[in-house]
Amino acid sequence: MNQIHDLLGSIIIGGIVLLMLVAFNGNIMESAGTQTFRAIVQKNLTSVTEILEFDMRKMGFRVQAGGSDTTICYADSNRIRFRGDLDTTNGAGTVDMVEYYVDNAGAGATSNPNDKVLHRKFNNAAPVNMYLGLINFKIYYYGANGAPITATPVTAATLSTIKSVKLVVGIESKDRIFDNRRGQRIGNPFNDTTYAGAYWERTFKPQNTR
Amino acid sequence: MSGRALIIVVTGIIITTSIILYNIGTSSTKIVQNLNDYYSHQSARNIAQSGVNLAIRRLVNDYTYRATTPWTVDMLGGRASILVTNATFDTFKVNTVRIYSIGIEDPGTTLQRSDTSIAYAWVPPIVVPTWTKALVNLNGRNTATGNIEIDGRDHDPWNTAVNAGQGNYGIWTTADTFYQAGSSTVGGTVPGTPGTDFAPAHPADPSIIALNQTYPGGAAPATPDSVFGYGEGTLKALAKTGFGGSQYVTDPSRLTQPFKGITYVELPTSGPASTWSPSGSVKGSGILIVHNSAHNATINNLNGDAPTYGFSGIMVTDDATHINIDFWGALVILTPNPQGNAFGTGQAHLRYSRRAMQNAIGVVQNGSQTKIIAWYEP
Repeated sequence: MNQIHDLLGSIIIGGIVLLMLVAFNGNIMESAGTQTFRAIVQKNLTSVTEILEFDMRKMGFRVQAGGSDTTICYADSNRIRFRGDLDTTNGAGTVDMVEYYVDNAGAGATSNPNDKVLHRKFNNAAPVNMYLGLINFKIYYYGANGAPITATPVTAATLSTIKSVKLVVGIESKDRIFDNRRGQRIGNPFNDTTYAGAYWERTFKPQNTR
Repeated sequence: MSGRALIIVVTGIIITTSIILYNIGTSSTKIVQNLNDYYSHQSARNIAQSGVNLAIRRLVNDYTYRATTPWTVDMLGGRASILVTNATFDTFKVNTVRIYSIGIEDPGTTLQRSDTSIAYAWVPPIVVPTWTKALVNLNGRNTATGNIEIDGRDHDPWNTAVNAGQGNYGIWTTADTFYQAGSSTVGGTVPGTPGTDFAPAHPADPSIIALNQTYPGGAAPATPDSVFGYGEGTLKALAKTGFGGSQYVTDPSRLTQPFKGITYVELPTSGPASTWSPSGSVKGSGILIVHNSAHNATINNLNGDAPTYGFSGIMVTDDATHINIDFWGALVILTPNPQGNAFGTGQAHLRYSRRAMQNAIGVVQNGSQTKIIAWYEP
């Protein structure tokens, strides 16, 4: 009789331990997946910001002040086109034109229904499309002394008064994290626990537009 | 058998979990590394930009500043390495400098990151303030004695070489005469394009001593601020801020050398304290002002032999007697009733210097001289 009791006890306790370990293992695996997604999202974010910063920092370089063309040629809340000597491979001193804008074309290739495609158009070349899980791309413009220019697109007469530009970028993972803890926010600033996300904003005050 | 199976399963799960935990740790490390890398890059960028700004500040204070070997500055937890060289930029062919600043974050470590900022600055040509009509600008009769040499030909600061044809009168005065006694010599340049130089001589060529002159607009300036065209009190206020080593004192014994920026000495209005006789030799640059509300502040026995001592810049004083210092720039004596015998009982050399004046003015005008014409960040 005692042997049966020992056997049943062992099975129950062993089963509980086994179930605990399986559950623990499941959580760990889920965390590992989440962490990987976060790492990818962060890397994508820094990639986007480095590309943006590379161009924005050169805004207005070699553009003649007071000329017929302004440094910023078009300014909208989700599209900007500006000039500067960005690329010396086509000859130092040649002023280039670069444009950034977002749209939904091609974004359906990912499982995230919210993401958009960021395009970078350099001079007359075909736009380079960046599928990096961009869900938010917003541009704010400021004049002298940081006064916001709220009317977008900015009128042609006002373009030359833009002295600084704030970029807001939000990125999510392109694929869903199957997270069953929806009630908990696990590191997505957009309160969507099914995708890993990251947010970045920065105000550029290009030296050449001052 | 079931016990063994359980042990094997548990061991397997532990191993699997350990591997996963290791992977989580790796991912976390990557996230932190990514963040650190971004932060380090931003810091390096900030350092590089700060380096450019530091160089600009030096150019403002010293028109001639160049750094052909890297000027290294530790800051913000990193290091800036800055070169300042002559350059051309688009249509700017002359008077242009290139400031090349490399910002290094965590130098000498595995975390080292660097970034570069390049700025092109236009350092304007030397423009002599319109009020400086000569090396020595007087508002009354005065005298040079001893062996003093008053040379209105142009020189670079602290340099004895003459820049041919770029100087100005030796003496410019509203009075009808200037006495040249002892072995004193006076030289200068008759303004023109280029001007005609006359080496210091005794007696001097009369063409480089301008007598019976009238200030543009009429009355000669009565205060240091009016000499520069500033609002009254500006120079004193600037000196009180202490910017660029400036000093403001009512007791000259509290001055520290070398003089820099604006050195403003406001003396009591009644004698003998209204006269300042510096104890020992003087060294300095910038703008030296000796003035009081009664317009009778006098500097007496200002001595100093270059290169250890001397002064480079602009000196404005109510009155002066026995100026015996090696001097580059321009000197203005405001009083219409000077005590006389202003210059020399010794071997001093007064030399006209556009650059010395430019440097002095550059300090006051606080950045208006050097203009950034382009900024490039690779």
